[in-house]
Amino acid sequence: MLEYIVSLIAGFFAGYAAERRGLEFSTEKPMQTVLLFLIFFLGVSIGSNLNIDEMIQVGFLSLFFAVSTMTLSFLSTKTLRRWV
Amino acid sequence: VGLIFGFIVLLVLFAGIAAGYFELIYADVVDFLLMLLLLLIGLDIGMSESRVERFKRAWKDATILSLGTLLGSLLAGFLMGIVLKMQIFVAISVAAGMGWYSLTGPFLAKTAGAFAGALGFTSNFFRELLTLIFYPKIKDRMSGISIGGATTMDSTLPVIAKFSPECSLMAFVHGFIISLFVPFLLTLLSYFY
Repeated sequence: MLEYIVSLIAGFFAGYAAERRGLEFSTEKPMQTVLLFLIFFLGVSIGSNLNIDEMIQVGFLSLFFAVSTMTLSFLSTKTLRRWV
Repeated sequence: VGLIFGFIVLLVLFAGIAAGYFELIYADVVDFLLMLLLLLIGLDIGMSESRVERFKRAWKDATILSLGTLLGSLLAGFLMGIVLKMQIFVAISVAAGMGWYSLTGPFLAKTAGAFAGALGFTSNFFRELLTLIFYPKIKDRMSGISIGGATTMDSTLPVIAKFSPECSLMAFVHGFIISLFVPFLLTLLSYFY
C-alpha cells in the first residue's frame, strides 16, 4: 500500500513544482479517463466474483451505509458547531 | 455535466459487470491505474493555489464542518461494522469514502475484495444522490453541508449554492478538505484489514 501514498505525495510535489514554474495544465480529462477504466474493472471484478444475491445484498447494505454516514455526519457537525 | 458523467459511470460499471459475468475480459492493470489516479489527484491538489486562496477565507468554519463530517462518517462505519458483523476496518473504509465513489469502489475492490468494492462504490454513490435529494429539505443548511462529504466541492455544490448561496464557499472548502483526507484515510485503513 506504500506505493499509493508515494504516488499521491509524488503527484502533490510535482503539481506544486509545476505551478511554481507557471506550468498550467488540467488534470480533469486524464483523471476522468483513468476513473472510467477503474470503474470498468470494478465492474469486471463484481461480475466475475459476486452472484445476483450478493449484488442485491450490496444494494440494501449500501443504503444503510449511505443513510447512517449522512445522519451521523450531520449530527456530529451540529454538535461540534454548538460546542466550538 | 455531472449528471451525464454519472450516467456514463453507471453505463461503464454495467458494461464491466457484464464483461466479468461472461468472463470476456481479464487484465490486472488495476494497481497501475490506481497509482496513476492517485498521482493525478496529488497533481491536482499540488496545483490548487486558487483553492488554497478560497480556503484561507473560510478555513475556520469549514474545518469544524469537515471534522464533524469525518468523525460522523467514521463512527457510522464503525457502528455499521458492529451491527452488520462486517470486518470493522472494511466497514470504516466504506464510510471513509465520504461520497467519493469513483475512488472508494475501485480502491476497496483491489485491497479488500469485490464485495467491499461494490459496497464502497454504491454506498458512496447513494450518498451523493441522497444529498442532492435531501439537502434542500434540511433546515440547518450550514451543518447540512456535511451530509455531502467530499462531493460538496463539485457534484452537489450547485444544489447547495441554489438553496443556500451564503453556504457555497463553505461547502466548496469543506469538500476540498474532505477530498484531501479520503485518499490518505483509505490507504491508512487498508493496513488494518
